[in-house]
Amino acid sequence: MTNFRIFVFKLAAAFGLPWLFLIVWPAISYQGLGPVSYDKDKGDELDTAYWYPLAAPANTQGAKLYAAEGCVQCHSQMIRPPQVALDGWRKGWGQNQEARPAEPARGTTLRDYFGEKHSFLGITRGGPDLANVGYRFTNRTDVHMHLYTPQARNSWSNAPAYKHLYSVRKIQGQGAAAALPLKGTRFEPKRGFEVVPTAEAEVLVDYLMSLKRDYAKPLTHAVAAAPAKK
Amino acid sequence: MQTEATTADLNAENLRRAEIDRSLKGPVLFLFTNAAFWLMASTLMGFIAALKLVSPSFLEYSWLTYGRLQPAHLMALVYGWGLQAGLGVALWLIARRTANVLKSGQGTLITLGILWNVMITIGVISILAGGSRSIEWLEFPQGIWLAMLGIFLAFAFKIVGMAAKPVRAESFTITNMYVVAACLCFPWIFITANHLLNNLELGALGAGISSWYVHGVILLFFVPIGVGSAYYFIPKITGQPIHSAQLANLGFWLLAIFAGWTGMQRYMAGPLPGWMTSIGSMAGVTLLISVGIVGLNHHLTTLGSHKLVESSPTLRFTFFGALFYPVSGVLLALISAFWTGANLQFTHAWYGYQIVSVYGFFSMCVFGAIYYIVPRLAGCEWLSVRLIRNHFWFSAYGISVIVVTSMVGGLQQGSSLNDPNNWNATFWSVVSNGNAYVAARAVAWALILWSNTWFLIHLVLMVAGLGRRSSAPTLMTREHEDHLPVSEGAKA
Repeated sequence: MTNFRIFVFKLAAAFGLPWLFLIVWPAISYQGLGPVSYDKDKGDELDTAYWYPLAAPANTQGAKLYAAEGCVQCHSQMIRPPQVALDGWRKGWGQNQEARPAEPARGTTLRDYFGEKHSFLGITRGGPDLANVGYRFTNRTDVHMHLYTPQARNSWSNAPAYKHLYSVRKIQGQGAAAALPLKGTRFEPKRGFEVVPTAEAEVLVDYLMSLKRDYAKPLTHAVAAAPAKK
Repeated sequence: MQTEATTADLNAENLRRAEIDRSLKGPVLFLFTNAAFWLMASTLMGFIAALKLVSPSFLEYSWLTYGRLQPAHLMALVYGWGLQAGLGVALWLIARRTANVLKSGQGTLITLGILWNVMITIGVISILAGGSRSIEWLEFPQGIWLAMLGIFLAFAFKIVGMAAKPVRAESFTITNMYVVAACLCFPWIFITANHLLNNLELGALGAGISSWYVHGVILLFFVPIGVGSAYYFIPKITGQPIHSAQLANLGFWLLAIFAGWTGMQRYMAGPLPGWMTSIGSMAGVTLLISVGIVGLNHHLTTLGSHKLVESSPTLRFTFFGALFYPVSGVLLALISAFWTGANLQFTHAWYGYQIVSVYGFFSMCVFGAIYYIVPRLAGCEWLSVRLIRNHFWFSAYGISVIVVTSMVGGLQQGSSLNDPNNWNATFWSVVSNGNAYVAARAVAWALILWSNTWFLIHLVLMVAGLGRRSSAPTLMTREHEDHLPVSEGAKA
């Protein structure tokens, strides 16, 4: 009996320590973490009227759909800094879309994910990283095309087609403006029909287009957060 | 040379065991049968998911896209099979270790077991229907976690209660420590992760916590049940005591101390504060000591009895499972350490680690336990050696293939991603490097599916009481059967 009690106390101590210091305490102190301001005087391009992060990847509906479809199974949203991995140098993974950008995309930081309930940092990379996918796509139609027929854009793509987010319907009048340009591809619908995104597809695209994390962060944000002590 | 008194003791002991087994029959067999069903369902989904990773247009239905199927596959494996079978084994082990008869509550436990299966069914269906939350291993809809917690606690309460009040004074041993730790830690981790992730806005820290949760469930539920079961059955079958009590103790406490620190290292070099990922990495590598100690102890206990691995189904599965424990430890160290982790991060290696821990190690130990427990509860012996052999070889081969291909494929994938020469290559160069290995994974799941189907049928026949009526256990090599001294009393 006492044996058993001592055991339970020891176990509680052994596991309670990491539980408290690795999980509970950081989770609480994260709640007090706020944005930090830019400061031109300290070398930033923006002045103190601007706050980092500039904008949260808004649109919770789109994020919900991203979760529901399990995009996270194959797409990460995390850029590792250049001293660890080549993520930042890969084409299209940062703000600069050149094949050989002068500067690599910067590693993502904790504040880049403000405003998200829990981030989709990723499980595997069966597909490219999406931390900065908002820069990669310049128009919504391209994203819709990727979601509807990934193989139409890149024949080698092994992304699944999310056909259920689109509806195939009879063309009325001149056809919908949002209809996907599938003419000439092997994904073209029957004559007289068109493929239009549902509301769900639109919010998902809103979400994806908002993923832009590769902008300059404040140079001195760590110092700026705390007033100097005397 | 037995004296009168010891024969009487032995008989009393046997009667006590029979009484314990009778009291556990309903709940434990219920858990095993349903768990085996989920295992088969999970295997089937794993097979289709692997195929879809190679050929996404195969079976093109919205509810079968890879993003839904893969989490459903793992959730069925973890909660449908793993937790359910684990609880069954835990209940039986503790009752036997402490010589406690389950006095009441069989009906309640079975009812709760049915509810658990209803919850898993709702969860898996809602993932497939597009309700996944994409928090790893917590993909079920938010509403059902409290029900799952309550059901788990009801079982844990019985198990821990028995462990706290043993009938035999000397019986708080290493197996009890592991099983009790599993029963206490799982609710703790489960509540923490669910509460924080459901109610707080955590951003990238949320991803870290979900990864901590997965590591916690593996290291503080699956590992303890598997190791605890191995610590029970290896001495039981070989007839040798555990080689070293000190090593056993040390191995346990090292696990208990370090397991809680792991998890965050999955997002090494990411947005999480550096100390979190570093401490996770440190703990993941340090656990090698615990794993090595347990492996050594099991090895030294089995030494000289390897012939029994051939003949006893229980020892064969447990031995293989115990063999896979060090493998899972090495894999954890490889994905945790910074110098290998940078290439293995975000690759198939992670899947390999999950499968080697939940299937290669935990499930093989549980299969071993099931082959021992079920005949005692059902009152009949396993029908066919051939089916057991089929189950063992297809599982062992399939799991080995999945683990090896995931690791090698992961390394290919990761190093291709990090290769400076690939700066101009499309992402296909990365994907294609892993594809052959994913195809092999599909084949492996197909083999495991075959073995699990027969395992389920075999188990259902046993539970239905249609097993072999014999006093001799079903052994895997025939000659042992002939030598067995069968006394009239043993038939009871």
